[in-house]
Amino acid sequence: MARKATIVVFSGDYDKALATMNIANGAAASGMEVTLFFCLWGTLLLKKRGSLVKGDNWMTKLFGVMERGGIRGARLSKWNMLGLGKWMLRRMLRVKGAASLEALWESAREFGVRFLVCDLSLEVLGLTPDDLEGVDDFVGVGTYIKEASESEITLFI
Amino acid sequence: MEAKPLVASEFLDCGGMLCPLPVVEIARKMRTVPVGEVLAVFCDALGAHADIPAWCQVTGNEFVGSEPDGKGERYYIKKATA
Repeated sequence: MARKATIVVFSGDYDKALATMNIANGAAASGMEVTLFFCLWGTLLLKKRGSLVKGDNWMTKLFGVMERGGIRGARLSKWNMLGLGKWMLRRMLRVKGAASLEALWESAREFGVRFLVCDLSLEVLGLTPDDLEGVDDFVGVGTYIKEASESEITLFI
Repeated sequence: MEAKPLVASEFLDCGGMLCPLPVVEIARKMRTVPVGEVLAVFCDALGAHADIPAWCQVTGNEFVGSEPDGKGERYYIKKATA
């Protein structure tokens, strides 16, 4: 059985997603079977862009408006400055020849990294499976515990 | 410890690449390297001196050695069985 690494992607922040994808690629490139568990704000990284208003009550609709979703909608955890900071970080990465988040995301897919989403988060945010893209499965904490207990590396980001 | 002669049949240029790209590209390239063959990797990332031997240890490939090469270092990795 392949060695495993599991990462809980709790944060929906752009910079933290960059760290997640860096580690996921490194582990996959080292021959590990990598599983990402997207929870709460992390789920929004997988949200399709499009209809802004989602959800079944005013609170979830408000989140739908506030959180545009996807990598493009993600903010920096600090110095976002209404997107200026994010633009600067992306530019700094590009100038240095570092991989973009999009490229690392794509690379993780090619390595067969699994993208699992917490079913509770989906419910709470008022989203349906159709609102997300690139999801391998919707699972609960039981699956996380099983995977994490079999993993040599488990992180919460 | 006497160093083994550093010769390779395959080459990969990771010049200018930053973390995690070198190990990602090495992993991709190694899929095509025949077992027992040596891959030479040019890399000038600061952390590569630690990362490439570490990658070899984790994946079970043999880190043969390295030598200075211009502004970077040339690393030699022997593809292991399995």
